[in-house]
Amino acid sequence: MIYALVWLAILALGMALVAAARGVPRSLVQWMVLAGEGAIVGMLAAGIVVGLSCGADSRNAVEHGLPWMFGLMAIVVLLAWRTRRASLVNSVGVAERSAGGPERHTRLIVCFVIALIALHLLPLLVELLLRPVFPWDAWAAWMIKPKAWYLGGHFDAFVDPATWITSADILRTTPAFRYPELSSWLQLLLADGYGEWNEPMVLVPWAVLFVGLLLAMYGLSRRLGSSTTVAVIACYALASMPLIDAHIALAGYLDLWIGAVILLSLGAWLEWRRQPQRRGLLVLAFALAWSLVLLKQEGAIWLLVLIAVGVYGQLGAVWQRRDLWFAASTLVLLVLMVLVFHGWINDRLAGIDVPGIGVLQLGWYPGGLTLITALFQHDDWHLLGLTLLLVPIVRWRNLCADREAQLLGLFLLAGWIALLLLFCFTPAAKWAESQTATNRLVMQLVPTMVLWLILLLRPSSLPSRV
Amino acid sequence: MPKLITTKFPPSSNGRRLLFAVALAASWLILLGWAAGVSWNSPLKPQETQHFDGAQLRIVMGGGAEDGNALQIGAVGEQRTALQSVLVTNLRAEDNAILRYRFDQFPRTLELAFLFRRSDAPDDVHVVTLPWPGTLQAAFDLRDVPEWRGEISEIGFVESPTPQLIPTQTPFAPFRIVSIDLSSPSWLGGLRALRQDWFGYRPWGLYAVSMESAPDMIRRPSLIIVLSAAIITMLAWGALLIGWREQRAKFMLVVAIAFGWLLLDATWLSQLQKRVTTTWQVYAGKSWDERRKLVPDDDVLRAAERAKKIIAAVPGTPKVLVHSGSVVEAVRFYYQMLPINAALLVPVLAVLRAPLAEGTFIILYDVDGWDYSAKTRQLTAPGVALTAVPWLDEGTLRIFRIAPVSTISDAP
Repeated sequence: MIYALVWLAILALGMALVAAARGVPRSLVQWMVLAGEGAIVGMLAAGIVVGLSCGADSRNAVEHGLPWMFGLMAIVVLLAWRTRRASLVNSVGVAERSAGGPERHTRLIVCFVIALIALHLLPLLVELLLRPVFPWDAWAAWMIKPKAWYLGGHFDAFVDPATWITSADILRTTPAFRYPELSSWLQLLLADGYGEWNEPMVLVPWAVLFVGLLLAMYGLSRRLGSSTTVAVIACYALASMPLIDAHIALAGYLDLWIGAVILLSLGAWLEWRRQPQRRGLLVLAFALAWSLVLLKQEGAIWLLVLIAVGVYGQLGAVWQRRDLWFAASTLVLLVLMVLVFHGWINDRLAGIDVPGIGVLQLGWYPGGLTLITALFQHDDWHLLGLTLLLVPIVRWRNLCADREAQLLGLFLLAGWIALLLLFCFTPAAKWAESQTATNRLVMQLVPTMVLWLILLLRPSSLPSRV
Repeated sequence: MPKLITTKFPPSSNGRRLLFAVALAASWLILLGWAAGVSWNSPLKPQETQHFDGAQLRIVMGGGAEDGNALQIGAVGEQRTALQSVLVTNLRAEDNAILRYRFDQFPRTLELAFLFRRSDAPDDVHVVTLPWPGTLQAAFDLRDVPEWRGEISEIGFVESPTPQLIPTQTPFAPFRIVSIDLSSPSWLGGLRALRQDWFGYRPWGLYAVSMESAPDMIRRPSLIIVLSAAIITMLAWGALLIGWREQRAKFMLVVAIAFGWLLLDATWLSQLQKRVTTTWQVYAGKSWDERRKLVPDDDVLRAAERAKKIIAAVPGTPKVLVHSGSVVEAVRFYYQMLPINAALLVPVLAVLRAPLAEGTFIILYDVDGWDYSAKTRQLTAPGVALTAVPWLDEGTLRIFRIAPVSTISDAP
C-alpha cells in the first residue's frame, strides 16, 4: 500500500514538474509526453528529494521524503496554475496539426507495432520481477549504498579505503565509493515504501524508465513533426533492441537512464528553440542535463557536450562556422599531437591515475575501434548500425535543410568523437577490446540516435528526384 | 513514408531483372558461405561421417543407463556435473569438423559442453561450450576451435548447471543423449552450424548487459552483419543492373530494413522467451525470501549470512575486512553481508600506513595461502602478518579478530 503510494507520489511529482515546464497537455500526444517525461523526471526528482530530506536517518525515507514530494508538487501546481494562461499556449507540432483520426491502415500498423512492443515488455517484466539482482555492477557498485543505508538505518558517507580504515567516525567504503548517488536515493525510498530490502521491488524503476522512454520517444517524435506511424515505429525500434531489453530484464545499470535523460533534455531544448517564449522548456532541458551528473560519472561529459551544442545552437551563422572550424582544427591538432608526440606527452603525464582508466598513457590504441565494429558484430542493436549508415546518405538533402536534425547530429557526432577519443587514445581501450563498457556507452547515445533518424525521415518539402 | 510507396517507378526490362535476381542470389550465397565458413567448391553433403549412438558413450561422472540406442542420464556427480565419453580411433580432426548432436529433453537449466582429447597430448582435456541442443539435431563447427586438430582419441559431453545463472539447488532433470555425428566440412554441415549459432538458445550471463554474445563463446559472423551486407548488395545490384533511382532505392531500403529488423527481432523474441521460461522454471511461485536464496553462488550467500550473524552479535560497530580467492566472491560476500560495515581486504592493505585497529574483523572465505599460528597469534600470507585471534573456523569460512588478545573477550 505504501509502496503504491510512493509510486503515486513519484509519478504525480514528475508530471506536475513537466506540466509546469511544458504547459497543461491539450492533446493525446502532449499527454504521452507528459506521462513519459513525468515518470522519468518524477523518479529523478524523488531521488533528489530523498537525498536532501532524510538527514542522517536513512531508515524512514518515506516519512522524510513524501511530505517534501507532496509539498513540492503543491508549489509546482500552484505556480503552474498562476501561470496557466501562458502555459495553455498550445505548441502543436507539424504532425499534430493533421485533422481527424489516423487512417485505417495506419491504425492497423500502430496496433501491430504496439502488440510487438507488448511482446517485449511482458517477458522483461517477468524477468525483472522474479530474479534477484543479477548483473555484476548492479550488486558490486550501484546497489551497495542503498542496501547499506536501508538495512543499516543510517546515512553513512562512503569514502576511500584509506579514510575508512583510519577514521574513528562511522563511515563506509566500497570500490565504487565515488559513484553518484541519485539512483541509490530513489532505491532507498522504494525499499522503505515496500518495507523490506526486496531487490526486484527496488529495481522496478527500470521498467518504469523503459515505458517512460517509449512514451516520451513517441511524444517527442510527434511533436517534432513525425507521423503517428513513424513515431510508433521509433518506439518499437527502441523496445526491440536486445541490449536495451537486457538492461531492463537484468536491471541495475544506469546507462539507459543516461540515454533517456539525454534524449529528454535534447527534446525539450529542440522544442524550446521552436518556442523561445516557453522558458520552462529550457529550464526542463537544463535540469535534465544537470541530473546526468547525479546519475553517472560520465554524465559530466554529456552535460558539457549538451551545453556546448546548446550554446552553438544559439550562435549566429558566422560564429557557428567559426566555432566548427575552431573545434575541428583543435581536434585535429590534439590527435596529431598525441600520435606524434605521445612519448613526450606521456613523460610529462607520468603517474596521473584516472579513475576507471588507470595510469594515463596517451597513444593510438586501434582496439578502440571495436566501438564501431560492435554495432555490427553482436546481436545488440538489430540493424541500427546499417540504418545510421544509410539513412543520412539517402536523406542527405533533408539533413542539409533541417536545422534540428543538424543540431541533433552535431550532438551525436560530438558524442561519438568523445567516445572514440576515450577508447582509441587512452588506456580505456582495454574496455573496448574486452567490450565490457563500449556497448553500454554507445547505449547512452542510442535513444538520441533513434530520434535523429526520425527527424531525418520527417516529411520533406524538398522536391524529390524520381 | 506512404508517399514513397505510391511513387511510380521506371520500368526495367525482364532480362535486366533476371540478371539482377541471379547476381543477388549469387552474392547472398557467397555471403552465406562466408558466414558458414564454406567455400564455393565445398561439397554439398559431407563426404564422410562418423556416427556414434548415445549408448556407445560411457558414464564418467553422474549416473545413467542405456535406453535402446540412446543413453539416459539420470543423475549428476560432483559439483552437480555429469560427464560421458567414448574412446575413438582413426578420427582425423580436419576431416571430421562438423559436430552434430541430438539430445532428448535436455533441460534449459544445464549448460552443454563438448570435450575431446588428442592422441598427441593425451593428458590435456579440451572443453568447448556448445549451443543448447534444443529438440532437433544441433550442429557446431569445430574448425573454429584451434585445439581441434590432429588425431582425436576421445570425445564426450559435460553437462552442468549454467554457470553464473542457475542456482545449484535447482533440481536435476533427466535427459537422453541420442547420437553424435562428426562429418567432413560441407555446405549442409556449415549451414546447420550457422543456423544453430544464429537461432539457438543462449542463456543470460553476466556479460549480457555489455553485449549479447558471451565474450568467450565461439561465434560465427553475426546475422546482423550478414543482413546488413545483404541489403547493401541488393541496393548496389539494383542501382547497377536495373537502374534503381532515388525513390526506388529508398523504397527498397525501407522494405529491406523493415524485413531485416523484424527477422532479427523474431530471433531475439524467441531467445528472450526461452530465457524467461528458464527463469520462470527456477523462480516462479516462490516468495521473495525463497527467491533471494536461489542464487548461483548460494555457498557465498550462506557463508556471508553466517558471518553477518556472528559479527552483528558483537557490541559496537567493528570494521570488517573481507578476502576471498576470487574478487567476484569477495564482492558478493561483501554485498550479501550488508549492512555490516565491511571493506575488501586487499585495497585496504594497499593503503594501510598503520597497524589495523584492534577489534577489526578479518574474514577469509575460500582462500588459500593464509596461515594462522596459535603460538605466535600471527595470521600470515605472503607479505602480510597480522596479530589476531581466531573467531571462527569452518573450513572455507574463517574469521579472525585483530588482537591484542587481552582486550578481546573469548571467541564464541
